[in-house]
Amino acid sequence: MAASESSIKPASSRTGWVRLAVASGATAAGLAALLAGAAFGLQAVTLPRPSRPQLMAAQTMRWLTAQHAIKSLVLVRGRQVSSICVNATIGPLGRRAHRLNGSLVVTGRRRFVETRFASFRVGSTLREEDGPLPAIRAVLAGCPRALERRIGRFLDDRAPVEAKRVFLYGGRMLRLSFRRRHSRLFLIVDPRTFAPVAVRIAREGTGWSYLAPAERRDLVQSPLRLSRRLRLIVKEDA
Amino acid sequence: MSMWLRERRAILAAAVGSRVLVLGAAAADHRLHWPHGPVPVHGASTAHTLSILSFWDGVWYRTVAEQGYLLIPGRQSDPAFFPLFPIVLRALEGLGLSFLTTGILVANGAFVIGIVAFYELSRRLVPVDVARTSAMVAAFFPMSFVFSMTYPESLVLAALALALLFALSGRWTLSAVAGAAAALGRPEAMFFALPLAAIAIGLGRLSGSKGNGRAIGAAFAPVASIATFPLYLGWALDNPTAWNGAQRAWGRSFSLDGIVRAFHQLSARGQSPWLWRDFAFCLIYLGLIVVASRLGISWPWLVAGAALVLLPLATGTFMSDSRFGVLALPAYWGAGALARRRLVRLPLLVVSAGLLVAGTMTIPLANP
Repeated sequence: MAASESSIKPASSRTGWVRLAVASGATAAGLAALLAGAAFGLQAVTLPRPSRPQLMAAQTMRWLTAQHAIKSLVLVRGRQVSSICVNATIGPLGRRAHRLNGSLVVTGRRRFVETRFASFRVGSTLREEDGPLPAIRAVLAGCPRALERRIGRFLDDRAPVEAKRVFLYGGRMLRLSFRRRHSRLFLIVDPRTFAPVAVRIAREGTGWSYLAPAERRDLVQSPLRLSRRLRLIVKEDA
Repeated sequence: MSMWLRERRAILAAAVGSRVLVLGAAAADHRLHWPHGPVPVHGASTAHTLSILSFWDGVWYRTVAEQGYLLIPGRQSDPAFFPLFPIVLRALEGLGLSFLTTGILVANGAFVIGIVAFYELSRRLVPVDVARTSAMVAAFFPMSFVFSMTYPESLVLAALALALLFALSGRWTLSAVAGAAAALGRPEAMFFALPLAAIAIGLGRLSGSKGNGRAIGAAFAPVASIATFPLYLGWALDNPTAWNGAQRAWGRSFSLDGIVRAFHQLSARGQSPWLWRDFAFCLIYLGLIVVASRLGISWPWLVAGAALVLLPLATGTFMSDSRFGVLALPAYWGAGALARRRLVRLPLLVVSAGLLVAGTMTIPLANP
């Protein structure tokens, strides 16, 4: 009799323990799920969501961050002008001891480097260029960093972005229009990859510039090669 | 009630008095235009008397409150900032105050609640005189000016202290809500799931299956709450990893050699000398946590406090560690133990208050 009692007792206590564990687990999971649901709901209800075109613009930024070199084609007074832009690091320059991320733009035999702070015409030495024109030229040349910076400024300020369907190269594309005070930028992007295929800055005398990722053969052209002295200052990333 | 208040008069006076010092220093900074520093982030207001309290990350929290999140690849963007503070700012938008004024009111109000809750929590874990000194040191701690900035730290302090206090009282549902709120404010709050779990195991056993379940639920609440942030980002931005992406752009990606890189950065050329402030406070926090261990504070609390100070170093920098550490509650118990004697307490509080004013006035010069 004693033996049979001892074999029953542990079994019932084990069942009780399992029941307790299941009940506790279910209560814990229920409470955690309830709070998680409330936390998610609070975020979803309270915080505004970005617009779909703003998210598309962010996707274009993501595509640009993965690029090292872009080639472009622009029509200037009925003549096709092609450029190539490669990411580069520049420095040390003057009082700035650090190296800066920038872009090296080559249009025919003319070369210039563009950074966040300044632009330089590349000859036998670097000569600083004033005014907004070099930055605009870098954007139109499709320089990934210059374009990123320009789009990024619009997105930082949550400037309104409009998206419209357009046809280009026989395919359906998206035209993104950015507007902030007097500044406007238009981008045509591939809707599958969000890669920019054309860019325009709303400014007198600037038309569309057509962009494509640079290929290896584009990067071996001689104007991209710099003198040894300049290579100490301008280093191409591509 | 009056008895309750009378007992806590010194704590309340310390909490309010320290805020008066911080707000006064910020106003003096504005009035005297000293020290001169560049406007730290574009979009930071400089017109308000207390503008400097909204500098640095405050601008980003305001952007989230005003316009929501947007990950901008390749640039510093706002998904790096947790949503509790912007949610509160947005919820109070109806009061008709500016985000800056609302932010400062919320931060300072939450701080006073946080200090009182911390005192109540401390009373249950350390002797009363140590608890009182700890709360006073926390109020006047040199880096505690961040609790007055438009940052989520004070909300997190209040929520954390309440979560732990409720847990010690066996009020699990309230503890779970407060713990979830804390984790929605700053991810570091998650470390305190460890002491919450220890309390749950210790007390939950006594309270039956339902109580036991709620106790475990309270311990898991911060983790569950944190998990909702990537889910929300996935829903709002189509990118559940937006937080990691933004952290990388802020130079905050974790790596195994992070701590080694953090030490290298200290001696690297051209680094901000303010890094040494962060390094010094990192050592102070760790030292105080060691002292807290001698008070008999159990290991889950100590591990949570140490993790809060040490884990950010794995991102390769000491930058802002002095701010992250203000939520390392065991460090204040260590300080309370060291300064429990009046002879030590008074000079310590005076020096702390001086450094608090100096810290506030140098906000424009360095990101806390």
